Amino acid sequence: MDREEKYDRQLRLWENQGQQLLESARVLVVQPTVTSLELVKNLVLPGVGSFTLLDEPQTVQSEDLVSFYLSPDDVGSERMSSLVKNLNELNEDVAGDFHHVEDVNVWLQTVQPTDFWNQYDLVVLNWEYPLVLEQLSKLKIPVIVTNTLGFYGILRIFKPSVEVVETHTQGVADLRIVNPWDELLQYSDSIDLESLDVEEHAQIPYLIIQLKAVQAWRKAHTQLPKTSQEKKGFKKMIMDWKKDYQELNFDEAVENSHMIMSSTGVPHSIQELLQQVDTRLEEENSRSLFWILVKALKAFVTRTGVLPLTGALPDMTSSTGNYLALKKIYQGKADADRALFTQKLDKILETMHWNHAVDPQTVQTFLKNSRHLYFSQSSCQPLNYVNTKIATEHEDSKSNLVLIGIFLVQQYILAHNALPTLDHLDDLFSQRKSLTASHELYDVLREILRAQGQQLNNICSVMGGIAGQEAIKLVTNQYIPVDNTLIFDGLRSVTERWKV
Amino acid sequence: MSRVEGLKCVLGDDTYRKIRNAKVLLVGAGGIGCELLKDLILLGYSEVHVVDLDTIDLSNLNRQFLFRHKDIKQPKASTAVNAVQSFNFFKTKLVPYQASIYETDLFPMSWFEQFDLIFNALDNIQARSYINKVALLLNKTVMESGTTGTNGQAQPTFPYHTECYDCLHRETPKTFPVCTIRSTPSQPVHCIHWAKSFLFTSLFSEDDEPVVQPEGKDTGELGTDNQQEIANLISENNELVELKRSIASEDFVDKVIAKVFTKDIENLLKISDLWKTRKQPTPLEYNNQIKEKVLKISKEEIGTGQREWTLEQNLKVFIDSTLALQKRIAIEKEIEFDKDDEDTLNFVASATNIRSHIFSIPLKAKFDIKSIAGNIIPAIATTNAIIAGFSALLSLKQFDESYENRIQNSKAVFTVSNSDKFVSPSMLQSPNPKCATCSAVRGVAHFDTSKTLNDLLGALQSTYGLDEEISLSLGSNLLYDIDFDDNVEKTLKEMGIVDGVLLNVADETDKYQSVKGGDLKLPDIKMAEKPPVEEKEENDQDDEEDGVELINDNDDDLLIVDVKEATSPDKRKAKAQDYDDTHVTKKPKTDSEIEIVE
Repeated sequence: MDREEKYDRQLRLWENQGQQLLESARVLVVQPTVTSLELVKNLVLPGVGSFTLLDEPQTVQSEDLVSFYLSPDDVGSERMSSLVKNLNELNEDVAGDFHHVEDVNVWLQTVQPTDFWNQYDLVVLNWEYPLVLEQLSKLKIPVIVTNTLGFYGILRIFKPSVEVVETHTQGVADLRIVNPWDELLQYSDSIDLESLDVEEHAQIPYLIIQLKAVQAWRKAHTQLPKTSQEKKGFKKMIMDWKKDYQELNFDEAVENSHMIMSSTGVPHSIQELLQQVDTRLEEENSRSLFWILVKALKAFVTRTGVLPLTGALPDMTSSTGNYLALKKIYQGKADADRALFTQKLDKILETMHWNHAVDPQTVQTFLKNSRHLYFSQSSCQPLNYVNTKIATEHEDSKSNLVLIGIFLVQQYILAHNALPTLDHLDDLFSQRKSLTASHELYDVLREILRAQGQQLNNICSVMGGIAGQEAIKLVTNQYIPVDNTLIFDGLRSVTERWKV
Repeated sequence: MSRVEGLKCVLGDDTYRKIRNAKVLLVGAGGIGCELLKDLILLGYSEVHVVDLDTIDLSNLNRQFLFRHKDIKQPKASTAVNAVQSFNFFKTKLVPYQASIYETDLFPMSWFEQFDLIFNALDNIQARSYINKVALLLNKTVMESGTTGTNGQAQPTFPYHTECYDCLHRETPKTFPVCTIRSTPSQPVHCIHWAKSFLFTSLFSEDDEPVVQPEGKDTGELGTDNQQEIANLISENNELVELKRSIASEDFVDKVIAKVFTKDIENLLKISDLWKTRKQPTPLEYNNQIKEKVLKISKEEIGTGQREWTLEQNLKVFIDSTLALQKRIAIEKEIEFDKDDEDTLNFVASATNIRSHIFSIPLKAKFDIKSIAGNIIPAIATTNAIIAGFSALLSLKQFDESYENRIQNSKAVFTVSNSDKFVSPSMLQSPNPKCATCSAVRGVAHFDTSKTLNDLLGALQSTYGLDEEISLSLGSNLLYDIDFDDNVEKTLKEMGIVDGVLLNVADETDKYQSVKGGDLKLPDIKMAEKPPVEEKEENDQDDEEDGVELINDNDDDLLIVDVKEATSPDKRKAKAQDYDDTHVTKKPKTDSEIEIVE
């Protein structure tokens, strides 16, 4: 109860299911910076399972005091243990610990045992250390690389494929007004609006009114209302059916009439998924439950031509009797659709020799979201000359130069284990080779180097917020994460995204 | 590199120096406020005043990172200020206030004048709108911000130069006619309103004075002229007042159930006109047999409230919560509805559902009722961190010497988490010429109220280049116009022009030009041109949207506002305008408003 109350405001976003995933997530942060510690703060507050900070042992100096996570009391103590202690204070339900390594740069260039990595569900890095990325990619452990340089920030997400069921995409439900099934049509036909007295007339759910309006319209027209003139005519027809000007149900039928037209059929994005499902399942390493469910969905759509009904009804003016009758019909159809879907699913599971049982709740959630599924495949390649060039060719904005600038600085850091200074400006600029002809890159590089590694808390705060949001999306497997590179330019207050 | 050098290095010497001298106001120490306070002191602001009326709740801890479990029930403002001391590296002076920002005794206009910038970290429209008006009076830049779930917005507002908070039509919380709530509910939300704002407050938190007319009668929100219904509203109300007197009695809960769920409904049924086009409600059937059955329901059966309860379960929760509240009221005297107070929420949730059942309205889970009754907006740490970060970041642009540059370099920033962009900025919009708030130019005037009305007229005329054709009014009370000069020899005090009043000065002609001078210190504002009068469109074709209301009668008002008495002598000398007037007004404004300090 206490937990529910504490997390009430976020449960309204990702619900219990998301919260459980968050609470079981274990996050490793290598070489924590102001930015990645902001990220950790943003995960500890909503109750991430655990976090581990990895770095060399070092003593806190007074100049290390740069943000909220170290206080004067910590001077002289070991840095990682102080950080963990202070971050733990933010939420007693979160387990935090640290992992000391002798030399973090050597560590980053050493292969670690699989068991070590498997302790974590998400790894946060400051730069794209090739060997680490390679190991984690094999193990399918997602990685967030995030950092800030002066007024600029970068976020990269490495996750080979992103499959999201609960995308929280806004959309209208298909209530099948245009293509009703038999029971619904029979029920609608059993109601004769004209013969009803005023009281009963005002208690007919608006969906029934819409069904009747579509029927009536089709008698006189070859197609559903398309032009604004036709739509007006459609609405007027409904309004003319009113027996009393106060009838709210008729107003609702008109107010929601745009949904009738826009919600039918299988959306394009879902059709795409259905088209590629067989190829996906043939690939040995993408035999995920997501694709198996999509395959079952394909079988369902092939058979019925529509997506499964969710059974949910919107709020409406109606007598309880009418509402319950309608609810029963929709729920009955949703149950039947689910039964058909499950039947298709079982068959697929059998032919695939899939041994794990599929939780009915998982099926339910999948069906509820079957209009809004999301899939994306990411290259997961580190930034390099080739794909930075692609980014350059595809975009034409100043953020491109920031991306290239950060890439050049990162090249230097990975090669030298140190931040470049203003003395390296010309050298770095000459490294751009054919990436860009723009001399503005020089200014961007100077701006990056001018900060001399000083992190502006504000920029870290924004970047840590963005990265934290992405981390939550990844561990809860809800909402659509950034795919796959985001640049934040604090001078112009913009972010821009690339898929590189 | 030291912290100071580091900050100088990133910000540049000039901005650094200005920030180290800047005094700012932070209104709100909640989700955005905690983050913003951290950001502001780490940017090295010289002085931050923090105002928040609230105390800390458990449900704040998932994002308000300065607060701990042990801080629950403590004031937000002082707790936040104490919490940041450990990293107050630049020795920012921090002044917390646990108070409502509307307290004009504590926060008179003169108090606001001391700040270089105002940061809004608020959670409601009313307070934002209030700060907006203060900013328009004092010509202060406001860094506005807000979040809902994964979406957020940060936006600076420059009085009369960019869109003000009121320029956009805000969706005000929906209100319902009294008769819908009390007699003819048709949606769950109507029953929630009834349970929370009528039943709960009548029983536990209001004076027990009988009423002679129903609420909403004088504000036109009644929504009915059925005399029988109105009479019923009154008697229903007064019977409840009567019932409240027996709140200590053992059978109180039974009496409440018998009255509000049975007898009141039977009375409503007698008003036959109400049920001509509506389904009739069914009075609750409640007797000892049912009561016995209800009382046997276990706590486990009730659960946490994520799923819907049955009618019996609702009755059980209603009885239990009423008994709990009954006990508490003996000690607490008055209880306010609070979404985080379990007893009050249980009472409202169960009462809502029982009433819904009576009126054949679908029942709702407690979780959902909480959302509506408590106006709950989803909130998470990440969005608040991002938006607060932008608010602080955009504040750096406010130290440019040129006011024009400040506006040019400022942006409105929106985050949309599920989109490709994540953050999208937009240029600040020009003020909406039809905005009722900022189309009048405002300012603060400082003068001695023992001067006469004539002195004021002279000062107005010479300062703003107005001729005799002006009118002065306080609210709807006309003090002077060209045909009404009876009061010119009276003192301002006699006329009621004292601290804290709003004086409306309207120019009755079309011409004016700015001329400085005069004995009384009037604000240095520019009179604006009149906009062309717009014709109201006769036939509004778009039937799906509400018609736009045109503001047509106060185009040429000059408003003068007087403040609450200044508390210290130096504040009285505060200048009406902070920024120099060398900047070019991009777009002439319609009206003016001024503030006066005696």
